[in-house]
Amino acid sequence: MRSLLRFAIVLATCGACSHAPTASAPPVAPSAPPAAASDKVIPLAGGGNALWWDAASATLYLTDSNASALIAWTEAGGLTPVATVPAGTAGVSLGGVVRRADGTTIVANFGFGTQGGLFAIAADHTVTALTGLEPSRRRVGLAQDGGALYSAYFVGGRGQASVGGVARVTITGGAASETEIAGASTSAGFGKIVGVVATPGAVFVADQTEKVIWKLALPGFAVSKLASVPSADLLAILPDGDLLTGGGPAISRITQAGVVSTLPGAAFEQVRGLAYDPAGQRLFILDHSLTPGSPDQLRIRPLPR
Amino acid sequence: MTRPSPGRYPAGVRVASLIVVAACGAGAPAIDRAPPVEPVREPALGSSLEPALEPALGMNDVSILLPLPRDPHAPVLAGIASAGLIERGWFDALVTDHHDIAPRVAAPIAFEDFQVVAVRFDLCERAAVGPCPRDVDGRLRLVLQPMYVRAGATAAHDVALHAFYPVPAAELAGVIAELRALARRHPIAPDAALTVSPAAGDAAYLAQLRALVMRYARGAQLAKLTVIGQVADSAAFAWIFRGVERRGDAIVALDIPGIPRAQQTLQLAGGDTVYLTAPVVDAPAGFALAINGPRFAAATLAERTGALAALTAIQNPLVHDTINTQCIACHVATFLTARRATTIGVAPDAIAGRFASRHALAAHTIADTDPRVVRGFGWAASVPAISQRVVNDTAQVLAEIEARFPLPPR
Repeated sequence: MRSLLRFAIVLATCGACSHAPTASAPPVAPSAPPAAASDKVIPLAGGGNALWWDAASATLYLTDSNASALIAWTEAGGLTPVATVPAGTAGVSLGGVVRRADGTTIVANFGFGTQGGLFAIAADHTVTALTGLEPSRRRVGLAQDGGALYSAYFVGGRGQASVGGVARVTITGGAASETEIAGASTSAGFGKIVGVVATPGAVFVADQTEKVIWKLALPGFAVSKLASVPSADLLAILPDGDLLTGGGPAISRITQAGVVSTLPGAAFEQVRGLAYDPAGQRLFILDHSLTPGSPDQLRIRPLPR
Repeated sequence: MTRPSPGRYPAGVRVASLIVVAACGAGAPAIDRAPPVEPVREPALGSSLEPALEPALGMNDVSILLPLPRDPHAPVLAGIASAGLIERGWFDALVTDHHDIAPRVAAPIAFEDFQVVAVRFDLCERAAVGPCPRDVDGRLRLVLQPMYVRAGATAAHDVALHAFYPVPAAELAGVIAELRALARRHPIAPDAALTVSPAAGDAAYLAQLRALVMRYARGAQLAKLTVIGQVADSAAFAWIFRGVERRGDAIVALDIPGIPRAQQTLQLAGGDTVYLTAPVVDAPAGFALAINGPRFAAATLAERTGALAALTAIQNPLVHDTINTQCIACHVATFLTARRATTIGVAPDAIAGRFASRHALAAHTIADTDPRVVRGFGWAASVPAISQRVVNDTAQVLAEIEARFPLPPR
């Protein structure tokens, strides 16, 4: 009787079999989307973010948020640690990197709303947490033009509206001071500002909330919208003045006239840092993994000037 | 104690199995048809006279992690909408209306995209810590995730629903018997660790499991629904935890124990793993230290030992359960226990207060090694994730089943 009952129940359920097939796949190790055939792919042990190409030494610098470290990459030597940055109790998320003329490397510390700041890493690898900066600013992008240093940031987030800004930073020894050139204090209307690049004629910032590239004209920092983009993240600039940004599975190229196109090539998981090597005519791409078990990748893709 | 061989099926079960296979095969589209199932072997001469031996249930018999479907649109067991598992109003109240949960890869997800990836049976809703009382309803829990294709293979989004259904107390004995019948269909070593179901590749097994699940997993019977999903607008790995339950005719937000809010968020920061949590309470004491790597590193040995003890307690079903544990705790404890124990040179097995059982308590999956994984019993993309908490829960359920529904004497 019990067997008959079971038979009846199972048979009744088989009405659903036509849309409930049983084909199943065995577990597979995670793998990132296939890179373009010409991409060189370097898996990263930690969480990468920003990139900086130092043409003088033919060295790429990147930050590792897992190890809380600045990493260098060269064609001959591969990845090598440069310096370890003190880990804040708010957690580590290292942002933009710039290499100063005196050999000092400045690294942004996101700070998660309580410990936002900048680290200065001297040529001898001594690390200094610069004082005098507003810690509530969640700092991501860094840029310089000549001696001028710019820090991009936002406040809020995590359920609250993000209010972005960009400040000019002056460093004296272990102290820094910053003056907001556009942001809440100027009613710029920025959202989550992430990327920044600087040129003699303008500072450009990438707004991840609005998906907009803003132009801050010099002198005076008058704000205008350069372009809308599919997604926005850290910024890089090419020798012809075109801007690059990611934030999604593709890289957007934005001309100084605001025309947006997509760089050809295979898709990424999430493009973060970008840096261009003019001599080598290659683009460095930090492909951030959105998939547990799959590492971030540094990708190197040929890109003619 | 050993299970009977596959050949020792009672005659009635054999006949039912064959008919079910035939019926399902006829209805399935050719492209999705399950691989051929081996015909049931005839019993050895004389064995038909033996009484049917009830097998002891193992870890994979009461907690069943299904394999990923080959076709993301063809669920292994059931889809949320086509099977009527959850009414859309519940989903809207929990997910859609908040506009704050979304995967960070592939296309946006919809209600219809969720499908069952795991099944868990329990003897009660665990409204109190400790063994289930008798004469209360049991619980069926389904874990549902949406799928997408990544690098040519099916992967699960980092969003999961947990749907809870009552199993009437009077029917629990029958359900246990059916689970034993399922176990008999696919004998697994009783001491096997919890893993992706070794039986789920068998269409007949799945059909029988589906029948059992669908008897209780009906939208109108849904008692509680929870979600853990990635925060829609976060560049970092961040998750939202919340739930709703039925109270009379209303769907109301679940309270989180110890926290005057109905939702917790968790964000993964770098370094030696910092989980930024809001709100968070230091319960059990030491938990707040455990989730912050730099603070843990700077703490005294006694404080660090206390933090490890807190993680251990969180994973012990005889000490902590949903009734007295904040949402995030069980979902980060597996990784943090392994990580923090390594930091101070202690073997996780040696931590005092660790849950003990005669069942296999090993759980070595990506949940041990990757802080980006908060899945307790499901899939992290295309990799299975099983938390120590789920392993321990499963062992406890087995112990209680053995005590309340003992096998007949051999």
